[in-house]
Amino acid sequence: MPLLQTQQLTLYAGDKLLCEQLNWQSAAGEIWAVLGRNGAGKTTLLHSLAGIRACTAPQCRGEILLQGKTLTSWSRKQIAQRLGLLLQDYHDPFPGTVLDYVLMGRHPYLHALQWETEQDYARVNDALIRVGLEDFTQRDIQTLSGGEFQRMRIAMLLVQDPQILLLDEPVNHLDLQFQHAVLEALVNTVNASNKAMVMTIHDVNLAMRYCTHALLFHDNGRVESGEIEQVITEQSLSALYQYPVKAITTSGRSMFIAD
Amino acid sequence: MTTANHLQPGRSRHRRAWLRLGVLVIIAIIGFVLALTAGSMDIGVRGVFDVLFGNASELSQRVVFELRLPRASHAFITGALLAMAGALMQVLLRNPLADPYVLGISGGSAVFALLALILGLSGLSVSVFAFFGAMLAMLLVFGLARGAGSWTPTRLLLTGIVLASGWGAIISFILSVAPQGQLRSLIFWLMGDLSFAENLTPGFITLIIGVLASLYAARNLNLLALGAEQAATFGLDIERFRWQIYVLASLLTAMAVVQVGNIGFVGLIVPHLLRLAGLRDYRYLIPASVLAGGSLLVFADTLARSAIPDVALPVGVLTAAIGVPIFIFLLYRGNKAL
Repeated sequence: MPLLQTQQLTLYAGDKLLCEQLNWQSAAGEIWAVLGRNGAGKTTLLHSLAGIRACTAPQCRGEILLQGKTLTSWSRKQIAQRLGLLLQDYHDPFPGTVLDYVLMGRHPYLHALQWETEQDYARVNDALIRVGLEDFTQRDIQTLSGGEFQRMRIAMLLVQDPQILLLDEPVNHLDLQFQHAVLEALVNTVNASNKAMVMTIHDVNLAMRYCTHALLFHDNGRVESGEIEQVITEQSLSALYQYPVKAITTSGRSMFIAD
Repeated sequence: MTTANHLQPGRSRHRRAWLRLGVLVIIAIIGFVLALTAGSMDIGVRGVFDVLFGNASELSQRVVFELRLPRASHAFITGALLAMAGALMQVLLRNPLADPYVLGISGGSAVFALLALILGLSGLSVSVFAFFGAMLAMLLVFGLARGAGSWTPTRLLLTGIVLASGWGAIISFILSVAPQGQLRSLIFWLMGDLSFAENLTPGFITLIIGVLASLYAARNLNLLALGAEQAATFGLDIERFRWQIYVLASLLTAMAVVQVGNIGFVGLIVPHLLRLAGLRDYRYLIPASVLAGGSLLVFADTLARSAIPDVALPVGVLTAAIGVPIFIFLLYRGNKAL
């Protein structure tokens, strides 16, 4: 059974058709890259999959299934235990420590009056180590740089530990080293505990390196999907971005560059 | 950072928070003792302890237990109500500058309380009027801000500010047509006056209900501070929860306004100061707001009664005088944008 699935999913943003009758599914172990131009519908898809954009006509038609059951038949808390979403561009107006913040990732697993256990704190510590923030627990989040803040939020998602990870531009604000460190940490989590991951990303070469599958959001609601090696080609990328893209081979890997 | 933090981060986090709450308890006790010493009859700190242990004259006993203690308790309860309402409103709007007064709820409440006073009503009727005004203002601001369906914090805040100035204009109008004889008491009431304190029970019960409800919802409040979308991804049913918090915050505000009139500063400043002091988690922030908000108003009222001999200043003036410098100091020291 696929972990996450869409049936005949049609999405609009206002009058703009984003995808039409999309039948797509993701099984455990798959890592999906969602590629497309600005405004193509990548974020809308992730928000719909997470259930925070209500799927109601006329903006949304079709079905979204989480572990084989309609998304709306799950409670918010049940969804949060199974599916996590890293939002794009996020601002927090309140001061507070990194520890306070990341700890909230355990919320879906606690009763109303239950306090976090030392195991929960251990998970936080583990997640912070994986994003290189282990010495930041007492830092005020308002003093973090953009990249540090982004890594903290990824740590929060790791602490939530859902089986399906949706990430909206996870490498935003990250320097070259942390782009790879964070993606490796995420990929390791997926492989180690049989999860599935879907991420929007603008760096095709990062996608090629870390993802197994790709969804290409073309204009006019056309979506290509499949194994990444098959879907991503010079031709498909040139059509996708409406800009000539060329493949070059270096150190045995093919890289795509703007021509 | 000490190694203890690495070994048992949960326990050391608790310890840090409890330390701050302990300091706030001590501040509250000092506030009460000072409040019991202040007034026209000279009872020193030592005298207060004599009274508390039953070693003082009957007159001192009566002054402390029948006049000063009820007034200090009243100040404490009101301050606590305002600080909690502020803490709830700020998370609801995701704006550290928000409080129920900014949204015009106290304005609506004040308008109706003034109308009751002009009509010659007193006591409970004024309270009922003020309460009705608060609820009306609440429905108005949410109804208008919701409009075509979007319910963004910015829109809500702007609507609240516009309505608040509308209520302010109505208040000015009422004051300018009010009979001369009533004017002084009306203005005084608008600035916040604890000498209206009569019955402690309604405020106290409201405070207890508010504290219990907010503590039950404390982790949800933490999530709401992350914003609607993010909170939903961590399992919060946003729509329903926001309404619950709004109603609760309005109840707390209405009760505070009914009891003492307009004291706008406590709800704005207390939660923010506490956050800057490291208490972001609402499980700590709620009890801390009760203690700090209550203490702030106790100190302010004591100063208001004793700063200038034979002149009782409105307590609202004093809360601003105490709060503004602290707020600016912390803001600059932390060098953080709001």
